[in-house]
Amino acid sequence: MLRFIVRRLIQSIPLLFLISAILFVILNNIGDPLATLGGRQRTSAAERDRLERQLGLDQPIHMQYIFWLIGNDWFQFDSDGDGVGDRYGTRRGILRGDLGSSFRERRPVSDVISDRLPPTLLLMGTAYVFTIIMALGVGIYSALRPYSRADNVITALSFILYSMPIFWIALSLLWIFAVTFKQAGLPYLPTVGMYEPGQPVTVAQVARHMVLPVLSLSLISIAGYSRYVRSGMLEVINSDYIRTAYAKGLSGRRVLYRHALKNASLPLVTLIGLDIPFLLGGAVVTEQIFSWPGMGQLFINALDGADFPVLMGLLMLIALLVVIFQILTDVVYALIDPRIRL
Amino acid sequence: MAASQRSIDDVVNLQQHDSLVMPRTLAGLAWMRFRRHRMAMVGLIMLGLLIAYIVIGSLVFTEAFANFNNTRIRVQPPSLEHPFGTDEIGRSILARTIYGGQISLIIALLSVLLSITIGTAIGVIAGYYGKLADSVLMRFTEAVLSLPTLLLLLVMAKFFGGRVPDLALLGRTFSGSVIVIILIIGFTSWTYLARLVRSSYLTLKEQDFVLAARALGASDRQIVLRHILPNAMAPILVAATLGIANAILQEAYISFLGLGVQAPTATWGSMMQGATGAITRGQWWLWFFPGLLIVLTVLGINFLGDGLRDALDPRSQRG
Amino acid sequence: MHFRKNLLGAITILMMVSMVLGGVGAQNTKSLSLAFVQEIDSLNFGMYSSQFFSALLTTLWNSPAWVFDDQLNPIPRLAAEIPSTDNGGVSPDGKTITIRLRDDIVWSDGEPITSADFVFTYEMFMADGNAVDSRSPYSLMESVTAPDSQTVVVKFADVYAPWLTSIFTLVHPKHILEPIFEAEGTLDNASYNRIPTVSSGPFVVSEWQTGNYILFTRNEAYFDEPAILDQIFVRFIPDDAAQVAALINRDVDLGIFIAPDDALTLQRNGIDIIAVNSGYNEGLYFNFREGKAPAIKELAVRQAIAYGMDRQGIVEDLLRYGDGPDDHNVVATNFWYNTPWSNPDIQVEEYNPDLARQILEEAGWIDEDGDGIREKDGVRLRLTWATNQRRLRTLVQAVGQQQLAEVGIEVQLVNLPSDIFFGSYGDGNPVALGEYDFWEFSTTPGSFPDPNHVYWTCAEIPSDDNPSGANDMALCDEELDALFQLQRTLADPEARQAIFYQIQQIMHDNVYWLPMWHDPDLYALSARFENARIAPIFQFWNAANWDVSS
Repeated sequence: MLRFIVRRLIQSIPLLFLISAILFVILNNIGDPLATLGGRQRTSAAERDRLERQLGLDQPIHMQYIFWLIGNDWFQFDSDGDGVGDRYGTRRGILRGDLGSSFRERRPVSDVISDRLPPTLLLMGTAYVFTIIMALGVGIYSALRPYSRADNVITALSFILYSMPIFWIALSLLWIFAVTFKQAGLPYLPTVGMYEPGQPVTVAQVARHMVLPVLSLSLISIAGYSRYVRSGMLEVINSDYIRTAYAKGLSGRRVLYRHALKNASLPLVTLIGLDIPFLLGGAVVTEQIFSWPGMGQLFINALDGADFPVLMGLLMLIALLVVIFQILTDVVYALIDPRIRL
Repeated sequence: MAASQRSIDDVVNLQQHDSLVMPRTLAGLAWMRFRRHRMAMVGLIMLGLLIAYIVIGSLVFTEAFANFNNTRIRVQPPSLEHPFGTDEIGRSILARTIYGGQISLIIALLSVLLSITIGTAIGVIAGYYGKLADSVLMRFTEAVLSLPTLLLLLVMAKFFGGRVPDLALLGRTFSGSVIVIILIIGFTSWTYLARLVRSSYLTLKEQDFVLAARALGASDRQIVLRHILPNAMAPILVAATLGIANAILQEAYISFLGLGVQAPTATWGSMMQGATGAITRGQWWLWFFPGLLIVLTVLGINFLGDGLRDALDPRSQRG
Repeated sequence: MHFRKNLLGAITILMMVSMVLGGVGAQNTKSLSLAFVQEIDSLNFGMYSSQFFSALLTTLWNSPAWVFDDQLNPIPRLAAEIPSTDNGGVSPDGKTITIRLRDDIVWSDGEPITSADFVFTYEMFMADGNAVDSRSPYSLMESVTAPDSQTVVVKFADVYAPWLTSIFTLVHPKHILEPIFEAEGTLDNASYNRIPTVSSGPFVVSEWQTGNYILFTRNEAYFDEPAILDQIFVRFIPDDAAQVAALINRDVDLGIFIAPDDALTLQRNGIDIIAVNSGYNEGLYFNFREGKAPAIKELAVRQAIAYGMDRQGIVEDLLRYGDGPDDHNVVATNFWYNTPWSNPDIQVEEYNPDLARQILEEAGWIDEDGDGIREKDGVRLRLTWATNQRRLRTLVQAVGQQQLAEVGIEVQLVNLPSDIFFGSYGDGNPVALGEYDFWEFSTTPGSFPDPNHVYWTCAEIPSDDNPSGANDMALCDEELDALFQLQRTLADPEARQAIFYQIQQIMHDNVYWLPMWHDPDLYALSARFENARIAPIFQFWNAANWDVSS
């Protein structure tokens, strides 16, 4: 097991290098961080030259990549514009744990990202747990009465939900539960943010703020996963070993939970492991609409300002997560299913 | 998005069975199954109606009418004269959804065509030729797969944004952003198909009929295109169908976030982007109709794709 | 399935309990919430931020030498009086400004604010170690000295008329920052930029929850009348629809950059809308670059655009922010509209498509092939109209396109991403390279309320030698250029005003710039927000007087 993990990690190193090099080239060309510096006025030629020198943007792209990789504390750059290097860099490079500095916020990318990580993890984690529970519930419910009226309704509903863009769902929820409910005098949910500023941060308060974004994030996934659980269950229920289990005289419930559920949830494990990093895609839209202070919002802001150190850090972090979750998925899969050996 | 791609993975498994069991009567059997599949027929009818809507619609309303504005009748709710209401400068939303729908579907079809081409080519090369080509291509596929599609799409949209000039085609002007969207969706969505095609080629190339063809002196090219490809076609077809639904949604997502198709060209997605503020203003018709058309189209395609998959899967005994 | 029912029940109960709990929360402190649609990058505006939203907040935590109130009158803050020629603050040659400071000014930690802080601020802007956003206007200064602890002497190399609105808009604490600069050789990474250690304004920054809010609390050591409010929350709500919802729900008390359509909704929900003139005017800029865009260089074509587009109709229908007859933007008459520098004799061209057609006919643009678009010498009258991707602009483009087609001008619309559209010649911005016939955006005289502007001056034409020149139009009218140079050096406001009247007349007669609409910033204010006198610059200048009604 350990050898498997170590081998997979080593195998993923060239992959991460490949991703980083491709991304670095693309991201360095998505826009100009100095064009307006986020203000309404254009940066003048003199200011621009000075900033390029001071921020190291005047270096050729391969040097910039090397700096990003191993740092620039061995390299003298020119801060006063006389053409002679006069000052050592301060960056240590990603290989020494330094992701560089954000152009917009002028502070370490690792700080910028770690400020945004917990809210995203909280939102995603909750949405994910909710999705799994609901998907299992709905999927099993459908599988136990296939082609009944209830199953058909659920099937139709999941198809419809599944065909909806997430922003459509999010905005509708926002409108119904936050705006219309308030106007009608009903208990309503907050529209934006993670908690009310100025009030003590309580679990209840954060939970209230999380209801709508979590629903927006989960509805589509529940629709998709429950279909998966349903077909997995159906397959297992109709299989010989379940028939054998019944024949052995085991009770329906026992068979269901011991055997059927365990096997039907196997594919779900794979999906969950592989999908977690990809949920961040949905987070971009949801966080934007509900002003959730997470990485999705950070990504959009950084993209707007062509803040490529931040983009680079975010995307590499996600790529790393993907690699780790792929390995974890294999491990968990092997733990659940004794037939698989790593 | 992820789940319909996943169903493609299913098809891999199914496909391997198909080729073993019923090489000849597959098509006939599949059509019988498909017809018995009620949802698939519903999907087919929905799509037929939608296509009629955007084709016949464009015979009823000219493009000039769809772009005709009159600010005195702006944001009017649906009425007999304007069944879907009017937008912020008094254009008929009904007429705009017809022409916007054309662009949405063109984007979806062309980007899927592109992704199928790339995916099949890479899958075939990796699966059939194997060795170095395989490991290089699969590493590259993994690299693309390691990043969430939406994030990759946004980065690419920003990268290409404003760099592609407008294109005049068939007497209409298409914003350069349309071409950008087609390219980036095509370039980011081929990965699942590549893996799928690769694995069917890995299996198929060891099959007896391939070995027989080789023994008879067929060239690699002939084997790849004439003998294996028809047998690998079914999953590609299903993937393409579901890919169209994905592409429509992806275009809507990018346009919603403001990086998609730009004015003056409209798509269902970009019509909704402009209308998000309308939710708080209570102007529901601005976002309801283009959104409804997206949902109906995607729904129809998903029904159809589901039916296709079931039709091509001999194990599913239903209907 | 009991399992599922129980689960649903549990979730429902959990939600309800949390709603009830969350609803409880007593408030006896005086507090206001402001909504920003963009999270700021740094509070240290000028040095490490160029964002409008960062500029807004400066007067909450920092006292400049002086501020301007909502009527644009200068009001001294750190300075004892506004320097002028009369009080000896401005030297006769106009190059030396002497600022005398109050003797009772202190940082929030009790340390006195002295002229050394001013000199230090200047030095930090100019230090090679600091990668500051902009050195303007400090790079124009020859020296900044402190003859005594309450006198600051600023020497400009040349006369710089806009000094009053641009120097020492923020002053930084030497006693806090100098040790950091000496240790690190730079202020780039100082935590002060995010959470200023000490404050000289009515509030101190006590917390910045990334992605959420910045909390300002009353500066108890403020040297002036202490603030009425206990705290101000600046909440980041990066979505227009969400901002409107938050305003309607009374979650926030102030919103900025409200779209006209949203303003209408808000007013109907009892939220006040105020329009603050910060000098911005939306207009069309024309391409005069040599070898490019031949048709638009003809005065007749530009005049036809002026008469052929119903600008009055556009503002009445698309820029309406209230139900009253006059609750909409107006068409500006010139670039300095609604300022003391605006020439009252200039009138907007009325919408007159017949006149537009006639002007084009007389200039030889005739529809020979009967397709509705005019030609001259076999060349079709086809123009490109570029702007960014802002929704309102794309709508106005569509309206204008249709109206101009009616007078025989074919218009092709281009919408560029903002960072390209506002990029410079050096960045390869197609606008600056002269690829389009005309383009549209909104801007203000560079140091508003000072009228000085560089857009139409010959020296600013971008080229390979001057890659970030501001004159993308590449217009070089010698008479106009001379007037622009002259006004910069005039210390007498009346003489300067006369020059601006002339400038506007030339620009109007030649249609060098075509105003679309006067573009004030729309603010939404909740009913409980009292004493909100939002100003054009130093917007929150009177934050100390802000109050909430119960």
